[in-house]
Amino acid sequence: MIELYAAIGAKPLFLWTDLLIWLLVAVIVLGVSYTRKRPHLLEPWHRVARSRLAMGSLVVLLVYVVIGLLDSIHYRPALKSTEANAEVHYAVEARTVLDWLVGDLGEQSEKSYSAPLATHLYSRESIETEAGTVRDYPRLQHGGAHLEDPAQQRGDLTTSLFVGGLQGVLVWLAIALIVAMWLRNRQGRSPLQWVVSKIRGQSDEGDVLPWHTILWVTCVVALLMMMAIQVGVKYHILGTDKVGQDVFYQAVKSIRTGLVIGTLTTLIMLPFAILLGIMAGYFRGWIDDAIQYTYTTLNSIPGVLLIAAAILMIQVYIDNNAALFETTEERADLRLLFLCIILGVTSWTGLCRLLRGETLKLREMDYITAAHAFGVSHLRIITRHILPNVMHVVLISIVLDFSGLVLAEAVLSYVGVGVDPTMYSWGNMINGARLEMAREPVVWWTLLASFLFMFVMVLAANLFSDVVREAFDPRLQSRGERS
Amino acid sequence: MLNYILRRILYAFPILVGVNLITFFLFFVVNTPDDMARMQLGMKHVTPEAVENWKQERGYDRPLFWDDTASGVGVVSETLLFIESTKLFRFDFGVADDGRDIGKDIRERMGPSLAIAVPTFIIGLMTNITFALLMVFFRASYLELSGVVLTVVLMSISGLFYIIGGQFVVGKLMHLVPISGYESGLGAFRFVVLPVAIGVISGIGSGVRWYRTIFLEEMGKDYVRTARAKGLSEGRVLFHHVLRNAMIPILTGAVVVLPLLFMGSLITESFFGIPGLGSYTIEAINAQDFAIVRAMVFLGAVLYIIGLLLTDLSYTLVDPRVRLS
Amino acid sequence: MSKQSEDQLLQSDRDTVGSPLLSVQDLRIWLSSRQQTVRAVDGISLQIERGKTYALLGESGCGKSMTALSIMQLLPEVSLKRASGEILLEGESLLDCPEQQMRQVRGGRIAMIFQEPMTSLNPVMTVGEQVGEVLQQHKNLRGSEQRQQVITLLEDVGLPTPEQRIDAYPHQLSGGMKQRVMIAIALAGEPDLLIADEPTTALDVTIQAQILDLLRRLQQERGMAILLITHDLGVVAEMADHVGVMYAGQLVESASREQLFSTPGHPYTRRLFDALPDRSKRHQPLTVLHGMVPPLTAAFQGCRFESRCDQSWGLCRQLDPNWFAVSLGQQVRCHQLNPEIEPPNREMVTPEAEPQPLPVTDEGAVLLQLQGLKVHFPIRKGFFHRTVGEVKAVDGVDLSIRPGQTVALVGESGCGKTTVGKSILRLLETTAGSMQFAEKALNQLQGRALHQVRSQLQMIFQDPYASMNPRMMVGDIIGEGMDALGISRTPAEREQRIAELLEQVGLSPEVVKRYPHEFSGGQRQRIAIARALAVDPQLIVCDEPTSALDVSVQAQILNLLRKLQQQQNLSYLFITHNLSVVSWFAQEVAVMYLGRIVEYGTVEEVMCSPKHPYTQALLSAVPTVDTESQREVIRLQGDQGSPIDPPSGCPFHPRCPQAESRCSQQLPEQQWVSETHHATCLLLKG
Repeated sequence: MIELYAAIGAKPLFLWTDLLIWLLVAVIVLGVSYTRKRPHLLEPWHRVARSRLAMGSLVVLLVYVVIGLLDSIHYRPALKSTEANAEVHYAVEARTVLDWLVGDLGEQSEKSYSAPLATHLYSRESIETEAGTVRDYPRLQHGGAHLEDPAQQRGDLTTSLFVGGLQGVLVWLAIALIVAMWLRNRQGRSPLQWVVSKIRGQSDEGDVLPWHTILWVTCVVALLMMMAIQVGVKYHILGTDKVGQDVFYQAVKSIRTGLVIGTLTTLIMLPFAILLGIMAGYFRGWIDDAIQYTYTTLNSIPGVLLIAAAILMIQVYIDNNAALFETTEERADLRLLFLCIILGVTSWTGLCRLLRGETLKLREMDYITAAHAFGVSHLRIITRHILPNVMHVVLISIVLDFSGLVLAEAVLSYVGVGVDPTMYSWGNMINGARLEMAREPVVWWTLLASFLFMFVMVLAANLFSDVVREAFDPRLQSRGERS
Repeated sequence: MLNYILRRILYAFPILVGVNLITFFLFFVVNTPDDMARMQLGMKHVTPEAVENWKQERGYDRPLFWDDTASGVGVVSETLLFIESTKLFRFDFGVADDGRDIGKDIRERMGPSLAIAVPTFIIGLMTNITFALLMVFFRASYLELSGVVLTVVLMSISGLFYIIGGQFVVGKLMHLVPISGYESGLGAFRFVVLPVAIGVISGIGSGVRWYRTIFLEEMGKDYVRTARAKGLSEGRVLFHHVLRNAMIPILTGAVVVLPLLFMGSLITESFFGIPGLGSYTIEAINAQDFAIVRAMVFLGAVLYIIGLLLTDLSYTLVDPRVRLS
Repeated sequence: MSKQSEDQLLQSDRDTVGSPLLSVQDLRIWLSSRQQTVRAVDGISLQIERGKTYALLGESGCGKSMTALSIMQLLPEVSLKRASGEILLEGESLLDCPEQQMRQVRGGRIAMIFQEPMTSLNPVMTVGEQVGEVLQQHKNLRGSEQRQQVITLLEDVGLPTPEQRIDAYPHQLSGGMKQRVMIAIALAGEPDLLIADEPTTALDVTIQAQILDLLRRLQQERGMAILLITHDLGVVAEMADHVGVMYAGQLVESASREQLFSTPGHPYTRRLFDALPDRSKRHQPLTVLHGMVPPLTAAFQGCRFESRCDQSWGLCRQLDPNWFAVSLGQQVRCHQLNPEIEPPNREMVTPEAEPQPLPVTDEGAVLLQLQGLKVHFPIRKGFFHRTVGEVKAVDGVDLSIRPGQTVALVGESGCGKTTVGKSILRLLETTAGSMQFAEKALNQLQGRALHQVRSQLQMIFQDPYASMNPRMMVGDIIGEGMDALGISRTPAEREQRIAELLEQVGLSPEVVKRYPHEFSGGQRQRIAIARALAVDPQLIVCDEPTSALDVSVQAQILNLLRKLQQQQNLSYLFITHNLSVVSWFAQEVAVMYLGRIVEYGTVEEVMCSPKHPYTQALLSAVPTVDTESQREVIRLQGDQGSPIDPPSGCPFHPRCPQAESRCSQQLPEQQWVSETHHATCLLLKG
């Protein structure tokens, strides 16, 4: 193993949140393959799939998810050692596959603030020139450094955008054709004809997915991404922050944090909420009392304060046991995981109460009575009869909670009880940048970047979750289709 | 009625005991008084004597749960758990790390918190209900569709941006009101306007959607059909029948947060420099002043339980089907 | 030709009775959602005269309610609806009437009452407000004048103590009283036409009789026309002047009540009559309509009833039949009655039903014996669950069932009959009394012994939609009991057995891999029967197994239950409120009132010579199809008491028309009328 690591020059780093994220991916894959074979489970998903809104936002979400997943494979690059045959040491700073893909975007640091796409720093500095020391805006070390004369910037940008746009179209076309070839329902057209017809807005008999919307959204996303890459390697698209780090890079890296908080929190609290909620509703009596007491008590503690208290405690633990962590990532990761856990503790009560109510209704259903008449055991009744029939509540609550949790991360990080200050997150970005609004002239791009990235993801998630709720909530369905 | 309230207060007691146990566990067991002392005195150069001194000053040198040295009831009552808990239950919050009386601070800071929270709450509730009713009234039209889209967009913006944006535009660019600060008395008005406005706007997205769902659910019920069959106008059906039924979940949902308004809003207060309980809490968290945090947790729990009680009582007022026993 | 003949017929109708109050011409309502189009109403024409009752009869999902709602212009808000045709109220078209004007019509000229009085009233408004609102809207009455008028109206609809009830909220009223309030709301605007959409379906028989009486009286007093929508032939017989029979979105027969009940014309109508269970058909299986109402989502070709009609021929498949007159005032939409066509089998014979012997019961052995069974539910309150009272759901029930026998347990809702059934299955704990099942003390069994006995006792439920887990496949639903009780042997045997069971209940064995939502109510009930049979029970508690089903499907299920009883010597405890089903199906009847059995005997004894005043009232309250007999309805006042605080003495005395003063003091005991017949009434003592 060690030789292998040495050969590729990197040692994998298994972070807790990485493992959980990939576990979640595995669960989703299993869930999809399970659902595919069961038409009654698939039916509400078909309703989701038919919605243009849902599929459009899903494409956007998928881009976020792919970036987040690429950012969830950590490794420690080998340090170049001066001596030959010496033991290989690995860096203390871990990198991810995403870092490797974007190259050295993360390392292209300037000295301090620079505006988006700028070629010069944002503030004057003393520069040594042949004519002596002058106070001027110095050129950036990376942003636009390839230009001999900053005046060429406009033309250079146009070229990059054009090239990026062209690449975007090509990438999109490639994706569209691959999808088309994989499809069976092409009505006898060639893949290219199919793509053209969809772009024009024709829909075929038997089409479930709104291909017109999907292709257009994909097109826009591909264009934006390729343009960003073309421009991003030469300039700081969204400027740099106080210590000169690329803001665009920070915003992209923050995606993973947002996704982890939004998904793992629910994942962690899910078992408790499901188990306790169903038990309270099914067994009633003193079990119900005990569980209700527990969640009323937890609920009555103000959430932020409980999180604050718990995070302060874990920080004390981390500080006291610094030796346990080889890398800064591991330290920040533990805090992130703990944040998810404590957020889960404060947010499971809502779902638990919902499930309790739903179970109370279900246990009076005739099929549960029938099962009792057969002497079916409690465990079997819960797993076979109750659990499958409350899953829609669970699913709705997962998708609805997601965006709320992403937003909560920002607030908590602002309060100082969110993720580790060294971690990339939108909350930390806002926290670091909010005082800069008071500067003259205003440094606005960090806020803008975090706002844009967060807003697009939360909006897409909200739109998607709306459709999912509508498709799964039996009450909402009867409203529309009652005859 | 009185009997019922008394009984409910009795039921609240075990919950407060539970809250107290959790906070005690977090603040004294997970994080021992020794840790606290070391942190307060600075990590370096701490002598064991200094730690002991610090603990003794605050009475933290007692055993946690069980005092072997004491006799009789003293075994329990001479412990940190018992003493600290009884203090809380007497609303005696002790002193902060900087030596100030926490109880006094809380009383002083309640006013500014309420000055922000109460108007935000009332105006917000009315705004949300109005917009939701409008959307339901114009349902299945483009007006509703754009309303739905707008609420989703508003909902997707982090509360922090409302505040930062509001401060920047109204305070910095337009110079209409001071960006932050507070003044007691009538002078508070110009400091309160912006936070309240921002609080209301940031709540519109989720609030309107929530109320709209409630209204739509009521709209599907049979009695609405009966009302229409009477020949009533759509407006009367909405205001006279639907609204009265929908007010039950809306009011009772609002009542539960009513007492919590005392706690103030963490973010708003700290951004606008309002000397309320919200900013007090944030300062305490940042200064890692556990005595204050513990007091605020307890206070929050008490207020929440009062909220639950008020919810039950409000049901009897607005819903004829519920009668207390 | 079709249009012409139709118009001619309609014309002749008009000539004989003058201009109608309401005339509906070729009404079509199509509701579209993103996935499908439902042709809810597909060409309906009808006329309603002033002061007359027009009954729209049909099974569920045939479009009757849609017709009513479209007259009121109250169709549900769905994405797309299309209505064509004409609705004329005194010559004024309602379909293109602007909303503003329509509001004058609603409540003012046409009023409507709905099926569910429980949910149709606004729960947070007082009765007075809800009635007064109409007076304000249409009569512009306010203040004390309005209040006075409301009290008069409430008095008119027979609400006791209206001065107090005017300030009551709906939840403080019983179901019957709520429906009276609904009627008062409808009457407030003094409408010319009252649309009553299944006004008594949710109510008990005795209450139904009260409400029907009330409607009849009000109609006479006010000369109002009534459009009565119902599925119940009995109600039609009691109320209607003219009847329209609906099937799959169309009217198939239009006739006066006398014509319909003496010479039903359409094969569908005839089958409906045949499918009604009653005592005269006791010794033969009920005639059934096979299959079910076709879904209204597809376009039809030919006659809609063709697939279920046993007299159909080629033409029926190709051509939608026109209206043909049978006699003056009676028209039928069926090719058989076209005088120009000679149908291949003009003879309309009801297939000769094979006489079917009643199941033989073993007189000696007793399978189940209940003695003094009591089930009380404690009412707990508060945090420490103090018991503050008891619901005496079952308060002393004696019952015995022999192998192969059907005992019917009859009573109104809330009398405790389902509780009896559930305690026999040990789904509820009994408070007192003994239960002997096959020589075992059933209520003392625990653990393994109880587990073993579970296979002998099974249950079939009322609501076929709630009795099956929607997430389980039919095979697993049926197999569940075999798995839990360890009956299934190898997987192959299990599969084999499930296939057998499905065939036994008349379903194809291929359905094992399908989910319940793909089946209709009747099919689900068959699956439920197969599930119960899977563990080879000796006694099946049937809890209203057919009351959620349409008449034609009910007949299928009843026939199936009886066939299975004969094949397997099953015993049934048949819980129902439907007395005609009892007289066809059961051998012995127990009548329950407020937790006690008030009368017990063989079907002949109880049905023909009831001794207890309650049984007598119950029997007289059932509307019958037999229009000839002039039966006298015994009116019961008020509602069944509360099992929390039952009346002293005889629990029935507050409603009993024959009650004497001792009835309120003394608890009556069983009085034996014959060897097999007893009643619990003080008056029988002499």
